[in-house]
Amino acid sequence: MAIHPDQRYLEGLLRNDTLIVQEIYQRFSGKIKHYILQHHGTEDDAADIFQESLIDIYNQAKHRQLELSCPFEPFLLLICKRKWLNDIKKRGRQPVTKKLDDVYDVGEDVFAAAEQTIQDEARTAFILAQFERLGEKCREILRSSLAGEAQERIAAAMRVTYGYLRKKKSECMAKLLSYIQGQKV
Amino acid sequence: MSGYNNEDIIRYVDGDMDAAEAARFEAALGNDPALAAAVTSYREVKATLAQRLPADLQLEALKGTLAQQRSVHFSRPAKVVPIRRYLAAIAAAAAILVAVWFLLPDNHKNYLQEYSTGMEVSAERGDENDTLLIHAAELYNNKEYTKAIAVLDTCLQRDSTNAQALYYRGLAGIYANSPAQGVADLERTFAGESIFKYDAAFYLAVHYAQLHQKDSALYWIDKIPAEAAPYEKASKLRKEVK
Repeated sequence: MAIHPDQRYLEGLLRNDTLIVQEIYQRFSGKIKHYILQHHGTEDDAADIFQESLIDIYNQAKHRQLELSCPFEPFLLLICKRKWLNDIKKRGRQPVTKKLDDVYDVGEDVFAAAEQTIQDEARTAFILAQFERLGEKCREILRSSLAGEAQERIAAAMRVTYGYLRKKKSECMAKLLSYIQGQKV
Repeated sequence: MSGYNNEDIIRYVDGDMDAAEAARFEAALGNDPALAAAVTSYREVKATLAQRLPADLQLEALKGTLAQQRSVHFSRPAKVVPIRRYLAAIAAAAAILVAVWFLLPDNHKNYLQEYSTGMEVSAERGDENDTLLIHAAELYNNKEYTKAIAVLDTCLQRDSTNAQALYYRGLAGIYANSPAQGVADLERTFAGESIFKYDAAFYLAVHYAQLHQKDSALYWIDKIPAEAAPYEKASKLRKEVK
């Protein structure tokens, strides 16, 4: 599928291009502010949702190599709106009864790209939340191991044997998997 | 799952099984969709953590830009308040200010100020680089961090292995409010084996504490072993950020 010229927005976020970020706020923040104010939210809520959505898009572009095959505007706005609907549902303000295509008229490609981003970021947040439930030692071992540091060096720094470190790492990861399997996203 | 548990799955994916055991595991994989799904899930979890756990300096920089634009494009609407309520609000605000003055909460702590340190130089060789370091120390200790960075740049151009210059340029960076370079220098210092290694980890923790990024601060505090010089103040910082 051809990459849309609006891919430049993703590239701008990736390299923290101030002018691109400024353009994104100038062109699109007013629409999401209007939408959230119309749907039981405040200006602070709108600012949070807009910022969080841009960070989700950055993460998808950086870690999942997201490439836009659709225009940026409906993609961004759909993510913001979906996030806001989930947010008010969590706060118990009102049940979410509207379908997203009622909320915003978008094409299939936009819907698919936004849905992928929302699902991926929700899953990542879930995994990271389960990771935070581990004990401090386990988190340290997994952080060091997954950051690519040599196992021998990690063992030396922690003053444990290499064999113990490997065993402990495996136990910690198994505990994390059990947390993940025991919870629903 | 064919008698296999999570630890077996981890050992298989991480390449810790011997050839015979791995072959048996693979045979079971072909016949057990639940086991195959668990392997896929573990690979996903591992990849996600490897991507998201390390500090992302690009993302931190982007958050700064987003916050700046947020302040331009979003604001709290001014509310119209009747005059009597307005005066009451002023009185209440004054009372809160007094309370805040005495009970400044931890999240308003200025960690950079609390843990600020002077630049100490021992002239070892009496060469030109030592002279530059002494000059940089004067600037640094006068809080002229940007000028100190420029002098330390020159030091490092002449001797890129000078750990002292790298460490203090990192410190000057985070105090000069240009943290990206400062963080990069401190991370390089930590990656090396100089006497500044754990001090660099400590000031990375201080930097993230200042930004209210508790996880990143704890990440760097955790890097400091008990026998390292900054361990005691790192333990104090840990209590403060928790």
